[in-house]
Parts: sequence; structure tokens; C-alpha cells
Amino acid sequence: MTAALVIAPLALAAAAFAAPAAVSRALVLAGAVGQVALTAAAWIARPGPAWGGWIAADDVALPIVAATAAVFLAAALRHVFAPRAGREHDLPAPAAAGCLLAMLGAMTLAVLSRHFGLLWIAVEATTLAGAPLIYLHRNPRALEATWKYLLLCSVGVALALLGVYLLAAAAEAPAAEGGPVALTVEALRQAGGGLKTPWLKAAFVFFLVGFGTKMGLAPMHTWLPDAHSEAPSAVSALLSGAMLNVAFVALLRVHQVCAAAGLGAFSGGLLAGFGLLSVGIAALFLLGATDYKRMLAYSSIEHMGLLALGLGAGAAGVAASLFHAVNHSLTKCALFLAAGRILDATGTKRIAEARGLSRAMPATSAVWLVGLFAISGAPPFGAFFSELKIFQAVFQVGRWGMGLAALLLLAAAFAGVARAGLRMTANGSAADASAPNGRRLSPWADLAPAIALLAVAALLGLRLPAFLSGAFGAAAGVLP
Amino acid sequence: MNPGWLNVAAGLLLAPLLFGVIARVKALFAGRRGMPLLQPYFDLAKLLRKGAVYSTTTTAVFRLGPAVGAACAALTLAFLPLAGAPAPFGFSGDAVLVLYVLALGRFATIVSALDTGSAFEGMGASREAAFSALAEPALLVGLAALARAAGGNSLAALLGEPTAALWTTRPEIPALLALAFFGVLLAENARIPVDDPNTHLELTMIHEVMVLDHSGPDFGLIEYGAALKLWATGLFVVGLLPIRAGSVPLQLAAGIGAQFLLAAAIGAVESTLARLRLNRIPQLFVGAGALAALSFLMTLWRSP
Amino acid sequence: MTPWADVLLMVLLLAGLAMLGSSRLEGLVRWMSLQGFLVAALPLALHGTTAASAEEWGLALVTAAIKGALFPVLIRQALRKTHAQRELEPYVGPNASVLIGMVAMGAFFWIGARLPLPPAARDALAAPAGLFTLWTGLFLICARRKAITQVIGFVTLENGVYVLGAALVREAPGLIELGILLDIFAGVFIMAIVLFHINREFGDSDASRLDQLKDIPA
Repeated sequence: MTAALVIAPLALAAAAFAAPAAVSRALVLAGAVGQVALTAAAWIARPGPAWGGWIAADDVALPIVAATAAVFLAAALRHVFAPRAGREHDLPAPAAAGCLLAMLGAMTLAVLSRHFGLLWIAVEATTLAGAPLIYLHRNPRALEATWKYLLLCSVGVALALLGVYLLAAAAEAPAAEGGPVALTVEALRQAGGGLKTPWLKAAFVFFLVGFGTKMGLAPMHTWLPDAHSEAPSAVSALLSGAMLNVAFVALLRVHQVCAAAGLGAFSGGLLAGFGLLSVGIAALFLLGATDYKRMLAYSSIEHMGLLALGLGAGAAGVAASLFHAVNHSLTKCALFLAAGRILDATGTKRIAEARGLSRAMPATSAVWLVGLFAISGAPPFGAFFSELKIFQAVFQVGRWGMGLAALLLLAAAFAGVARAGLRMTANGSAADASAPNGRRLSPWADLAPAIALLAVAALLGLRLPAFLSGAFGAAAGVLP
Repeated sequence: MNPGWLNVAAGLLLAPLLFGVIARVKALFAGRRGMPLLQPYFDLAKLLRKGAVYSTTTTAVFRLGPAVGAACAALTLAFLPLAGAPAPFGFSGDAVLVLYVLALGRFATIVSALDTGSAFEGMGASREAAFSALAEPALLVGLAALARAAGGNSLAALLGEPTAALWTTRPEIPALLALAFFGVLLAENARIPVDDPNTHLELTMIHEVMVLDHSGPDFGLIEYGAALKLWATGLFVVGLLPIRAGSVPLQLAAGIGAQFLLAAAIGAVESTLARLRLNRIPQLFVGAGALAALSFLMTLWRSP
Repeated sequence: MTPWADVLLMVLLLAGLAMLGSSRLEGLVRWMSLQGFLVAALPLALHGTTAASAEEWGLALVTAAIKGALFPVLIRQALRKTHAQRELEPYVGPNASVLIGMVAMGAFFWIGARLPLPPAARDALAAPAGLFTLWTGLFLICARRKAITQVIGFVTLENGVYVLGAALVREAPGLIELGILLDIFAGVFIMAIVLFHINREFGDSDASRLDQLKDIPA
């Protein structure tokens, strides 16, 4: 069953490439629903590792896979039911469907993967599958965003490949012990102190730079605002809500290995440093945001920074980061769906021009505002509790300065985001918020899923279900 | 008698023949018969019989230039080994002396060109000065690499036995240096791809245009000095090659043969390449310098 | 470690220098193709052809086919569509690039001498050559204007990583190696397609024209 989580989307992707347009769209929906079903089954059945131990649905992977499936379903609904008028020059539907499903399969594979080589292949595959999707609507700005995304992420992932080789070098055991250590997380953690420390340190640095680029950590984040804002909203939701988590899991795995080898302080410190830098840069740009989709992208950078900060804060921090990753995925997806509706209606991405939303589109505007508060960590949404836990862990580890600085930066970011949100919803009249040929989806296609996602996020905050808290607690055990 | 003097005699006598070989090879490539091999000697004889014409704007510098140039080139022969056969004179650091004597000869040519007060000569002089300045680092770094690898810093050691031994242990060092020095040779002697010796368009000339105003015996000395310079810079390349013969006469013959083979190679290069655009010539020198620097890095790398 | 390894790596170093000093796009593609062949043959040269398994031979052949033959084809296709001939006005010119490259090479020789590599690769030029090729790729991406050169730089970067990998790792599971190779191939393929679109949209593949997206202060 573990393998089915990967093989099903990939098989559907192959079918979608070859199918006619309408069939391919149906396949996307089928794949989305199927993935949710498979994930639920996996939660209940808890299958063992597959492929010789190379993939396993462990306590770290399952919550992320679940969040990915949920986000994909919401994004798929919007993508499939998007109005097709005026979109003749887009990427052909079979190709788009195939890329979407391939991206789902690759992301799931990357999260489930326990072998670092397989992990690398899957992460690079997600990069490649995402590139045509950013350029879905075929305009020059999207093209520029696609190029930056493709080049930067490929270079980053290439550097991460060097990290994999360095990890293999660290795992070359002395001849007496017989053979090198396999590049799986279990084997490497078992080897523990037997790994050669200088190589391991170098490997971690390259992993951090490489997968940090994919995750959007500063200063390698420059592709993220462009790609996430110029892509169609469904794709942006996927990118922010699912793909960033993949890189996060990759960094978590290598951090596990370092901690088992006694380098936990080294890797944790680096992670925390990059995390704080990301939060800082994101807060800076959020204060002066003029484009609301770019604002959402910088918010993603900020939260990825928080995740890195949490990763570096010991076992409790890892559990809190995992929880926060799930919350961020759900909330950010809802926000991008709402942003998509706003873009459809107003035809502009600039905050100053998209005004009077509360009168023109009350439901969407409510979702938008509530979502912005949720992502900034307002109770009762899950993000509040997960951020609280992250900061608890950070202070427990003794990083008082970093924690306080991060709190202040979060406050600044909230100020920027709230200002933008209020400007968009409160001011202006209803006339401002309708483009000449505004086309809107049926509310069931994207508004309902957005509300549902926010509701789940609130639920996670109010009362974390036992199976999830169990998973997070077990995930804390990944660090010695 | 010091057998080194044979080297000097060989150089003084046979240098103009190099031009004949180059011209013959180029003719062969072009499908012609070409001029007789000994033509450069006939040209020299003809020039010595003629009278010289001096412009009224020139001074004694102009009259001295050719002689100084030829003398400098001849002086270097006294220090450069001919493919392993040592030269009559040598002391630690004489490589630098040889480089600067060659530079002195070049300076004499440049200064006598400037002395004429003509725009063409001035243009040629400035180009020659610039390109020679770029060529020098390649030569110096290469010699430094040799000094490190072969030990010792007299030319007898740098271009002699220890370097030949390098071919068995670290062949990449002399191989890279041979390429770099060949590039410098093409630059110093105004061959394609740096300068076309057969062009008749003054604006495209570098070296030819500097000697436009010399005539008669002066021009003969200029030509002879150029031949000696070609021989001398050729010795830098040939000295890197592992040529070993038993006895002294055989060694001499082998060295001379290698020089003529080098001339044939120059002819082949001239026939197959085109002259580079002026603003791309520095790239050639940077390339030669990079090869020399890489060779130097290899000497620092531990041996396998 | 056979003597062939040193020759291969020396030529790899020279190819890197040639790429830095070249401003003609066709020349860059040829050097990149040569790098592909050298890099494919490197694991065999490092570990000896007699001890190599059929799997290693197969991998070497596939790598040579993809990196030495297929990539130049893909990139030349993209070149033909854009009619681009030369890299005009790069951010850092060819002479300066070679000079900076020599400094970098010196630094990597210094680092490489101090790395505790496994015995097979210790005395080979693998570490300096790999690091230098990696650096050359990054430099080409940053210092050149055309998007095509950036793709060539990416391939060079991957070649450098491959060389370092060959030096560091004795056996990698064949499936993983193949997967990595296919991923990189797919990457270049998609980059070539995006290049085609860029050329159609902007008229040439000058990446410095891709500057529309920025954060405008409110």
C-alpha cells in the first residue's frame, strides 16, 4: 500500500499525457480523490516499508502526505473547473494534467523516501514537473518566473546532489566493518558516530543550501515570490502548500542523521540561522507588499523560516515544525484559492487596485481576511498553537535572542499582512471590485474547498485529533 | 674548446634557413613549389650590397636600432642550450638575463620605429609593446614552473637534462609548457595568428610596419636579427622536448633537426589558422598564460 | 587508479578553462560535449577497467550518450531557433574570466590537496578538477547574459558534481545513478523548451531582459 501512494498518481499521470483533454481533467480529479482515499487507508492500516525499505510511511511522512493530498484535491478542483474562455494558448490540458499528477506522485515519493538517492531523484522530479505548470497561462511574466524557478531550483538541487555524494563518503565505513553504510535513514542513524564527521558536516551544508533553495530559505529564496505569484492560483496553492514541505522533510531527514552522529548542535544551529534570516527578509518585504499574491509568497518564505527555526530546536521543535507544516499547507492553500477568486473578479494583482471586496464578494472577502489572520497565527486556528509550540521549543533550547527576534519579526509581518488585507476588504465600493469581463468559478469549485480547509485548520487548533498528536509525538522521537 | 660554441655557431649560421623552411612548408600547403630553401641567404647578401637611405627626421637611434637588435638576439644564443647540449655560458638565474636581453632587442626595434616620427611605425610600435607585455607573464610563469619541477634556475638546468627526465614522471608539466611557449613564440616572432608576415596592408601589421623605413644593410640586419630571435625562442620550445642522443655531434644534429621540425610546425600552423582580430590577440596570451599557470599548479600538486 | 584518470582530468581542467575563455556559443557546446565524454569515462578510469562490472560499463555508455551526444543536440536545436552566435557583452569578459578561473583553480588545488579522499582518488586530480568544473558552471550561470549559456553552465555544474561523486563513492546503486542521469536529462530537455519559448516571446535569449518581476516599493 505504501507503494500505491506513489504508483497510483504516476500511473494516472502517464495515462493523462496520452488521453484527450476532457479525460485528462477527469483523471486529475480521480487522482486527487484516490490519493485522499489511499492516504486515509494508510493512516488506518499503517503499512510497513516497501521497496526494500527505501520508502516507508512513517510518522513524519504520513501527516505531510495527508496535507499534500488535501491541498491537491482543492487545487485540482479549481484547476479542472477553471473557465476555459480565452485560454486557448495555454499549456494543453493533457500536458497540464500529466504534470499535475506527476508532481503529486513525485512529491509523495520524496516524502515517503528513506533512501537519500531516491529522495534526490524525487525532489528533482518535482522541480521539473512544476516548471510547465507555472507557465500554464503563457504570458511573459510567467515565462520569466518559470525560467528563474527552473534554473535556481535546478542549481540548488544539483548542489544537494553533491551533498548526497558527500553523505555517501561519510558513510564509507572502514574496511574492518565490511562494506559502506547504505544511504537510508535507518542505516545512517544506526551508524551514528561511525560516520566520518567532516564529510557529514560538508554534506549537511550542501543539503542545506541545495534543499534550502527548494524550500525558499533566504538567501536562496529569490525565485519563490516570482514563481508563486505568477503561476495560476491552483498551481500556486500546490507549490506553496505541498512542494515546500517536500524540501522541509528532506532537511528533516538529514538533520536526523546529523543528530544521530552527534552533530545535532551544528546542524540545528545552521538551520536556526537560515530560518531566522528567512523570517527577517520575509517580514521586510511583507511590510511593503504591493502585490497580494507576492505577499502570500513572502508569507510562505516566512513560515518556511519558522519551520527551519523549529527544526533546529531539538525534538520538541521537530514535532512542532511538523504540526506547523500541516497547518501552513492547509491555510496557505485556502488563501491562494481565495486570491484566485479575487484575481478573477478584479483582474489585478495589486493591493491598491483590488478594493471594496467585502461589498463585491462578501464570502470570498471573509475567507481572505480570516485566512490572513489564520496564517499570521491567530487563535483558534492551528497555526497559533503550532507557532506557540515552536517558540516554546526554541526557548527551551536556549535560543532566547533568536526567539525574541523572530517574534518581533512575526509581529511586523502580521502588521504588513493585516494592512494589506484590510485595505483590500474594507475600503472602496463594490464598483471597484469587478473587472470588465470578470469571470468567476462556481463557488463550489474553489470557495467551498477553501472554507473546508480553513475549517480543518481551525479544528486542528481547537482539538488536535489523537492520531495526529500521536504522530507528531512519535515524530519527536526521530531525534535522539 | 667548449662544445657549447658549436651551438652558437649553428645558430648564427642556420637561423635564416628557418625562414626558408617555413616558407617552403607554407608553399607546400598552398600547392606551390615555393622559394628555394637558401633564399633568405641570397636576400641577405643582396641587402648588404645595397646602400641605405635615411630619413631626415631620424637620428643616431635609428641607425643603431638594427645592430642592437641583432646583437641582442645573438647574445642570447650564448646562454640557451640546444636541446640538451649546454651553452658556453650559464649561471644561476641567467633565464631572466636572456628574457631581458630579448626585451632589449625588442626595445631597440620599437625605439627606432618611433624615431622615424611616422604614424604607421608608431602604431606598430605601440601594438608590439602591448602584446609583448602580455606575452612575458606566460614565459616567466612557465620558467618558474620549470624551476620548481626540475630544480635549479640556470637555463642549462631548466631546458636540459632534468626537464627531459620530467617526461617520464610528470609528463603533463613539460607538455603544457611546450604549448604555452609555442604560443609565446608565435607572438614574439610575429607569426600567424598574431601577425601576418606577408600582409602588405600597413594598418593590419604589427611587426612589419615597424621596420618599413629601414633599407639596405640595416634591413639586412633586421632580417638577420629576426631569424636569430626565431632560433632563440625556438630553443625554448625544443629544450622542453626529450631529445637524447649519445655523443655530442649527434646531440647537436638532433637539436638542429628539432629546430627545423619546429619551423615546419610553424609553417603548418600559419597555413591552417587565420590571423586573429586585434582585440582577440590578448585572449591568445591569456590562454598561454593559463597553460603556464596550470603547469605551475601541477608542480605544486603532489606527485602520484 | 590508472594513468588514464590523470590525463582525463587534465583535459577536463583545460576544457573548463576553454569554456571560460570562449565567447562563441558553438565552441561552448563543443567543450561541454567533450566534458560529457570525459566525465562518462572517468569512473572506469578511476577504478580500473578490469575490475569494472557490466553495470559500470553500461552506465558509462549511457552517460556518454546522454551527456556527450544528446545534450549538444538539444542545445544546438535551441541555438538554431535563436540564431545566436556569440555571447556579446557578458557581465565578465573572456580574459577576466580566465584570469579569475586561474585564481579559483589555484584555490581548488590547495583545497583538493587537503581533502581526505578515499585511496582510489587520493592522488588523482579528481578533487580539484571536480571542484573547478563545478565552479566553472556556477560562474557561467552568473557571469553570462544569454539564457543558453546558463543552461550550458548548469550542465557543467552537474558534470563537476559527477566527477566529485565518482571520486567519493565507489559503488552507487545502478538504479540511483540511472535515475539521476534521467533527471538531469529531463531537466535540460525542459530548459531547452523554455528557452524556445523565451526566444519566441522576447526575440532573443538574453536573460538580462528577464527583469520585469520585482518588488516595487509602494
